[in-house]
Amino acid sequence: MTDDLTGLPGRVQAELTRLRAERQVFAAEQDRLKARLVSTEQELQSLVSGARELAERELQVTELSARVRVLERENGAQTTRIAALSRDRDSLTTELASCRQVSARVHALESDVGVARRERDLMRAELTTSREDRDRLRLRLLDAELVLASGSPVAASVEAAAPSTDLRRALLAEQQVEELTRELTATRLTLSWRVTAPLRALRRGTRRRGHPGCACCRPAAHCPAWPRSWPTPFARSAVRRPSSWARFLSLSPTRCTC
Amino acid sequence: MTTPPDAEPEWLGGLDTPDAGAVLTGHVVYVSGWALVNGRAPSYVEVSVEGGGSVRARTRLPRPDVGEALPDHADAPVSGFEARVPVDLPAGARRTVSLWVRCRTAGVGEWVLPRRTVELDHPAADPDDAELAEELAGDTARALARVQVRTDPRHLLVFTHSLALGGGQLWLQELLTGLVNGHGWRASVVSETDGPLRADCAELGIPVHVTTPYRHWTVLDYEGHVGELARFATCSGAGVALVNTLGAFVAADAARRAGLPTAWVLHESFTLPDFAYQNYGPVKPPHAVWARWESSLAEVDRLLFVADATRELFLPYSKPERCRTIRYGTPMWKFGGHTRPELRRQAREALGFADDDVVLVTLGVVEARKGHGLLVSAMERLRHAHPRARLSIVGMKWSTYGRALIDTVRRAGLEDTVRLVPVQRDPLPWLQAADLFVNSSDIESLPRSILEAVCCGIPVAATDVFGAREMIVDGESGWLFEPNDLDALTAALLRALDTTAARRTEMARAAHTALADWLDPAGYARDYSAVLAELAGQHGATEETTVDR
Repeated sequence: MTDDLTGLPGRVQAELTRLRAERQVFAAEQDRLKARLVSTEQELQSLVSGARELAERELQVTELSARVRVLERENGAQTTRIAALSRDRDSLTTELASCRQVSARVHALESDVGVARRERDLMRAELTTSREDRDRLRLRLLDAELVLASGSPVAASVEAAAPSTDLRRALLAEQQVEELTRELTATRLTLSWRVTAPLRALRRGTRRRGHPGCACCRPAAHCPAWPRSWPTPFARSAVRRPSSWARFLSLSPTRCTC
Repeated sequence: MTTPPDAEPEWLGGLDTPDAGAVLTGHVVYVSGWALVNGRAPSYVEVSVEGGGSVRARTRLPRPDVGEALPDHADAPVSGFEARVPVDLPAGARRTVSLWVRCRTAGVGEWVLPRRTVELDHPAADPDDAELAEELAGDTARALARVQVRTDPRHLLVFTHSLALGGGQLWLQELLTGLVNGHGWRASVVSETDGPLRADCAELGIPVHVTTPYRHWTVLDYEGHVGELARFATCSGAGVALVNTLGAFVAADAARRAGLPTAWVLHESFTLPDFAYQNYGPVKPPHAVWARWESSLAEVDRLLFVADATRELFLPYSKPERCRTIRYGTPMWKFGGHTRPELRRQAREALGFADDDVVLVTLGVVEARKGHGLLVSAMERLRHAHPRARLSIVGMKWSTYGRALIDTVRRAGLEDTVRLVPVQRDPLPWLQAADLFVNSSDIESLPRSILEAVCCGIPVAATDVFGAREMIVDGESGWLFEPNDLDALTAALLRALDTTAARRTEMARAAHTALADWLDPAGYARDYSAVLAELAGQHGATEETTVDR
């Protein structure tokens, strides 16, 4: 189409001009609409992508929600487990406390057993001493009986030495031994041993020490009654080779009289 | 030799070992010597060592040299004494200690030998020995790991020291009889020495293997023996092991290494150092071997004892829950604590005792530990006060000590008063004839002879040691006296002989009543069966189980 409108009737020219103007307007409108379409399309795309993103986010949210629910359930289970573990811990703590008590009681009992054994050993030592005393008296009585039976001149003096005194002392020592033996037997059997520990401690503190006869617990060299001017007793021993013996030494007795 | 009553007593004697200033290896001081007062051995000899305490010495030990040199001193041939005193001294340490000896006789006085100083040198452990022991133990473990064996939880492997006649051996034999016949156990026995009890094992269908002695003085020998016994234990197919006596620790170690649950029975009431000294001498086994001994005691599944006192002695080596006392009975329990008068009469007639004799009996192989020398001396002292007292020592053995006893009886003119009877497989007639039973040992756990006497209704006079005091209450069910003390023994016999026959019967009955619960030998077989079954069950062995070790 040419833009030369000469030769065209005026009405046609006006119409063409009007149409051209309209076409321009429409073209501009079209451009504008195209631009708008483009922007709309862009918007739409962005909306679509936004929607997609939204959907993805929603999906994520859904998943997260599900996970949260799972976690909540797990949390609930954990809470239950924690509660159970707490109860277990509490019961174990109680058990541990009772075990500690038992352990402490065991230690105390072991200590008591140790104390009881030491007490027992002390009592046995006392019993040994009492037995020695009793036996010494009984053997003196035996010797006296033998002397009497032999009818020797010494017998008269022995008879006059009041064997009844010896008998009384023998009976006393016998009673002492029986008493100690009974006590030792009772302490082995009784459960109140620990209860009476303080009483025994008090008795030990106030018990009279010493026993008749010599203090056999000390060697002569340590005995305060040992005459320092006396030489300590002989100990020449040459018995492995009897032929090497020259002579023997006969000694005065060493009586410990402390 | 006689001494006027007003004369001062004559004390003679001296220390033979240790020499003054000597350096002694180890930590046990062995003291020996001789002593006489007015020609007689003292009633009581006490040896004291600094750091070790005081112990009563064993007295009336044979000293033919003193007898030869002092022929007019009545007790010269038996004037010897000895004592072993462990001293607290760690390995690698040295220490100077003083020792002294106190002798005493009632009515005469007391005598103290001069103090003597010696040095103790306790050798340190040899690190090479320890390394060698580890290496050899590793070889054994690797060899055992290659063995696949079926184990039977009802098969018991027993390690013992001897099959001869003796307390510990007879205890084991009666136990095996109960286990095999009464509780369905199968058994195999390994023994260090053979003896007549092998025939008893054969009757029970128990195979016996005799091995080499358990004592070893080198790590090589020890580990070699342990390896052999461990292999034997593994190949035996047994499901559980029982070790008899303290000295069989090599077997306890072997059983543990073979993976067998193990019960170890300790009859001996010696401390470990004292026992080691008696069996190994002053130089005890190498430290690596000693360590195995202690670790075996600590780690074996069960330590079993016959007396609470012995259990207490070994508690420090183990744990209380592993240590248990199981009383044992005797086949004589069937007599019910009574001997019928006609049996008594027949026995006395057969043995040549008169009706009015008061028969004292002691049972046990003659040895210094049993105090037979003291018994003979005590009989000499009281024969005038009790002229009808007759002592029979049943267990005479032809040894140095036995010969010294014979000589002592002869010199004292006691042939009519004291009889020395050879070892009897069946001592029952002697028990049936007896009025009193005497046990004068200085170390015992739970003497089976006392149990037998109680079962026959005979009152017992015994030394107040270990298990004896768990069976007898002094003055109520018998008489107790201090060991290694002639005065105490004499006084106890006087007390017993002064007691009326009726009262003696009451006391015997009281003893039987107190012990009745555990006199039945079926009881201890049952208890042992339960312990062994429990151990085998803990190990997880079941019938026909193949164990890849």
